[in-house]
Amino acid sequence: MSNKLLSPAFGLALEARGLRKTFEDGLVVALERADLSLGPGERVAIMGPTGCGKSTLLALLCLLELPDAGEISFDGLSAQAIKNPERWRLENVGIVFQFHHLLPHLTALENVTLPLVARPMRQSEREQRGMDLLEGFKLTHRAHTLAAKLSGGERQLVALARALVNQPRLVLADEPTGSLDSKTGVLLLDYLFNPPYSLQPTILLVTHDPAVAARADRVIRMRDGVLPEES
Amino acid sequence: MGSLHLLFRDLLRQPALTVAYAFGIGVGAATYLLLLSATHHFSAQFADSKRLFGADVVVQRARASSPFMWQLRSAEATKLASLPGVESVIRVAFGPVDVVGDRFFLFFGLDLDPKVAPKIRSLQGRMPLPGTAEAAVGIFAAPRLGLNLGSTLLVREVPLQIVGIYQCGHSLLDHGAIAPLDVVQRIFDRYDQLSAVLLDLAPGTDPEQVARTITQEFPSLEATPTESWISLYGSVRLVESYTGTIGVIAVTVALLAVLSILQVSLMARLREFAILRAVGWSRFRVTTLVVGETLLLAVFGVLLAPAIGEWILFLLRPLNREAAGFVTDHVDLTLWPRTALVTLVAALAGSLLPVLRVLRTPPARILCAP
Repeated sequence: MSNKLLSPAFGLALEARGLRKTFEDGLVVALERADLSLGPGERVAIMGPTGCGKSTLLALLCLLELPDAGEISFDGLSAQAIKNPERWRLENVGIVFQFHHLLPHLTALENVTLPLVARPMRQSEREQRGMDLLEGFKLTHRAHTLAAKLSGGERQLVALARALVNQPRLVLADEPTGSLDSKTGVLLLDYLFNPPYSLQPTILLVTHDPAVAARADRVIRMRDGVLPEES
Repeated sequence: MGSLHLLFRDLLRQPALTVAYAFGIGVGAATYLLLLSATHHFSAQFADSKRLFGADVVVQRARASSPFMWQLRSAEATKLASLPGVESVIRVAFGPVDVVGDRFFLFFGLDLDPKVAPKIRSLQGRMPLPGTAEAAVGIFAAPRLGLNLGSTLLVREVPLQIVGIYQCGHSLLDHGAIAPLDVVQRIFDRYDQLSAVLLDLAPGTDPEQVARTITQEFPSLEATPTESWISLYGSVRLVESYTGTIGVIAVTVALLAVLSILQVSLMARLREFAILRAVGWSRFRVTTLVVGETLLLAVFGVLLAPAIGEWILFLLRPLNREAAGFVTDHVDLTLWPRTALVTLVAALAGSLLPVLRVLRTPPARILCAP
């Protein structure tokens, strides 16, 4: 897929300062002193060993979890000022999980259009948007196949399509190629870095694969829950 | 795909399980419906007495706790007959007897004079004549006890010849037998004693006024317009309240059982709800989905309830034999709307706990774990 004309202003600028997150009443420190800054449309990879807090960081950045300490802001707007995180996520963020997290009893198309259900939109429009994405990912022929019957690679591509269906300004991907063979992994990254819409979202990618990280504009290394300000 | 579409897809994912949940709720609702039907049927047995006797006022001993007490005397009935507005007096005595095939057979004795007899429809034969060892059996009692015209019904070792089979539309009476009052008094060894006295009033006479007059002039008696007779009995009120409470408990227990299964199912689906929240579904929309599923299951259950109730009654019929007439033969469908309301409210309340658990579990905890 070729690079399109990208508009840097479309992507969401992200700023995180001094993030800390613990679990089990503070006994498990998942994240300690995490600082991060992403410019609009920037594509950044975070690398680090398993269990270093990468997934926790992503959960905080998409407001699925609240930090114990620290500040997050998007385009200068503090996360604390966001009263409705679900709606904000719906309008701004696409998430790709390591494990595709599709609903197995729904078809590929239904999974892709799942976020659109929460938006005021006609059914036909939803389906058209979903089909356009699946067509871009060359999965039209699998549109009406149950997610449970898709291959691992197809599931992850459908999960990516679901993350992009709302044309998000920020895409957070947690080891998106972790469970894929190298060929499918490359295909998925192609689609991720060149989404089939004309605006370039900000992308934060978590991986422990150097080859995947190399596709990003910038790589940040994380260790033991610490994300240094200058990497 | 909309929310409603997703709701149906969720329910159709495991149809057998969905049917099992709906059936479980249906059993709970049917239990409630049956208990409610039984209560109403029980009350109706007494309230219906007006249909049989056409009486306007029922007189009994004051503070009697049960209709089965024999506490009136014939002399009192005679005094009542002379009150202004009273056209005729019907003396009634009844109680349960142990006969072959039914240990709780209701046996009625009444004045079978020409004023009363025509009020009972004889399907076969005739009504017994006063002073004779004859009896007529109700349309439901005859086949149950294997009685026909000319058969002998042995009551407390007294043989009574069956001379008629009647139907009066009063389930309790149609499951029992009627004999002349003096014969029944003799069988029960209660000469001159009565269970109640029924008064027919002259046209235009106010039953309430007559009842007040009797209560004032005869402090040891209690007179009530027939329609409100049932409310006098503490035991009946107790039964009503008791069965009503049991009905609520039954539906609650059944729903709790089903909802605990439902909760297990919902907990197993936490990942799905987390996904929905992660992709931007609001808490309200997720709540609507969970509550909607529960309510839809409850609706299916409520629709199944009458059929399940009839099925339960069919299974219980052999056990009901001894309480024939007291226990309802069929589900009372007029009580279905109330059952539906109680079931839906209980389902709504019961779905709140799973919803709270779904909403209070941070999606990231579920989705970031393998």
